[in-house]
Amino acid sequence: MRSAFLTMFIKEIKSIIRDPKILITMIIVPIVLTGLMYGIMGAMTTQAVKQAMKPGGEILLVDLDHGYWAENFTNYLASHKYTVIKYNDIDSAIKNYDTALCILVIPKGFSENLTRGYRAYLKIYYKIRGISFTSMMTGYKIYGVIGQYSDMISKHILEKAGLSPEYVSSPVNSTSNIVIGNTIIKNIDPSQVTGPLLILGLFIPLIIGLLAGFVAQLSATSIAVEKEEKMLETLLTLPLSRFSLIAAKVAAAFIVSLIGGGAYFVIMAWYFSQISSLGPANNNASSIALSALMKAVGIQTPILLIVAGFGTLFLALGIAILLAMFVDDVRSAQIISGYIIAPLMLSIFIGLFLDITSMSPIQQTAIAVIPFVNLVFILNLGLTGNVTAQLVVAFSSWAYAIIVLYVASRIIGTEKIFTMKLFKRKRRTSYSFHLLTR
Amino acid sequence: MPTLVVEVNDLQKVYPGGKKALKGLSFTVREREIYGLIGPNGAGKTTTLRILATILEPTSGTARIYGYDVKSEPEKVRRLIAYLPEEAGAYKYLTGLEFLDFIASFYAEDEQAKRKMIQEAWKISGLGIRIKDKIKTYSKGMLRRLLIAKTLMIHPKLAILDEPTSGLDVINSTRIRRIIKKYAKEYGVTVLLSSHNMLEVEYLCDRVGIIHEGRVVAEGSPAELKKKYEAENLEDVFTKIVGGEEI
Repeated sequence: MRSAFLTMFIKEIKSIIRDPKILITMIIVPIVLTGLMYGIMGAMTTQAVKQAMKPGGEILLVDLDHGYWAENFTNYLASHKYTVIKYNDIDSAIKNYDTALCILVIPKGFSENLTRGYRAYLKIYYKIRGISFTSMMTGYKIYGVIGQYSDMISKHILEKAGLSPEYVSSPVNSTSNIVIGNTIIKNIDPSQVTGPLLILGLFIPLIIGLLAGFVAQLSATSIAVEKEEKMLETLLTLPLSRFSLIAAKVAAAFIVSLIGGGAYFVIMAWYFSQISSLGPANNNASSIALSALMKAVGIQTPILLIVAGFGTLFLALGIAILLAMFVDDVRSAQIISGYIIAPLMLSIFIGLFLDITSMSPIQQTAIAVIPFVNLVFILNLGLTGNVTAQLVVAFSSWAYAIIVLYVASRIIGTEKIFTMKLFKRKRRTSYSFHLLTR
Repeated sequence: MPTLVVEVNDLQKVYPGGKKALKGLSFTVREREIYGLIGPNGAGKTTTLRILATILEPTSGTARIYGYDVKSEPEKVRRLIAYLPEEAGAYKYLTGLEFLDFIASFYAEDEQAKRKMIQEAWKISGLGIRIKDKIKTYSKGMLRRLLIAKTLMIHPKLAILDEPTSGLDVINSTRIRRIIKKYAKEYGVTVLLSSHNMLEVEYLCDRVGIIHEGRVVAEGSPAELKKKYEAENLEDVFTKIVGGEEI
């Protein structure tokens, strides 16, 4: 015969899947909204960057110079797929300025300055059409073209004078080498290494934070559902141990949260891959950096990160269950789980701004006992070689989780689950009192 | 000497905040008996039933079911009882059948026994094909019949029913009373119930305990009580003991 745990677990899964309060409001809607948000952001960013990088567009040109270089520049624009519409004066250009990229004014003396070896200036009139990423990126295209034209002229001048353009443009240069632990990665742009490292250090704790929020909300709701549907009294009299009751709720909330968290992970990974594909790709450098990082932080770091991550999840879940025992309905449970999720996410973000690498090992170990936020420290603790503090993070996360879950199971084993109330709704106060004292 | 199913001795319950719900309550319930607890609002009926159902803990005194102490041996007690709270509900996103399956799974020893329990509950509930509908579509009467069915289908040694017909219309109330009486007799189920409805108590109960301010102030069969208090019915007995305002 099915065990009491399994019976309760199956019921929990059925309730979660069928209850629109849980399925739609807590799982489907947030995932769809997040997917949509990231989808739109990703598509817009990609579109904006592509638009900005694509040459071409309409330019309203007011040539007041009429010299050789003015004509040369106009031809340069036309050869780079820009449609040049000429106007005799600025006023008429402004009057007709609608969808064009900008108004470009070549002032009198432009050609003469360049010919004499002086710096020449162009005037740009750029219309702000709206505060959109695409419009701003598109507007900046003109500066890129002017920069390219300027480089071309200086190259030409320098070559004519017998000088190396590379030498003149940057006589002093540098190459970057990154040291992670004992590994040196030569000739690499620091951003190519710090980017993936930041994603690694931020991404995993963020996903764990999201999962913890999910688990907290689901488990708090699943406890409150028993009260709201007036099943708690019946449930407490069934031959079902309180441990099995809690364990079944925890397991069901955990599994559904993992599925939900998995969906978030896919959405965020897809978004980051979209964004990172826009920049210069150097997968080799990133993978070298990651393997060097793994070597530097030690094999214990990812293991302890997972261990501490699960400890944090159970801690969030325990707190949620504990608080949900004292509320009467799903709405209150969802509000109360919000009290857990908000500080949890905030503490993870605070952790990102703390540089613990400059602290002494004792200070690092002391700070490692702060729950939730300590998840973010594991990677940095690995870099500083403080394995003791990493172990403190993992063990303290589990210690807190066990203490909270123990307290929760003790409370559910007593009548306190029935008699204590954290939040009494005004309209129900007299009713609750009546129920308890009859 | 009949076996004592329920033995409550000098039971006291003080709620957090100091409210004294029970002040030395004592009574016994014999095997196969239907025992009714009656009393005014706030007398301690529900508190007593909740203590016997292992939901609340007594502050002092003892409560035993088949000799098992409700405070120190609640797991053993829970295997013997079935409790129907007054304000009971059911998982509204399960069907009636799934709900019965859920409850039966805790008691049945094998699949066959479980199927038998569910079939019996189906019959008791009288829900027909509506048993396959989601509980959220049930009327109050249908829900109460389903809950009575889940309580009786497991053939508990003791059924604890708190206001079994509370809030139901006459037809549904009568139907539930008949079910309780029939199943208690047929399967030898001992029933401890509380009610405000004196007609119900007179119809169902072999013995009655009248609770007032946390104590049993009178006990006996409806006939004995009526004779002792020279009353025509239990309602008069109740009013004479508890007192009532003249209109």
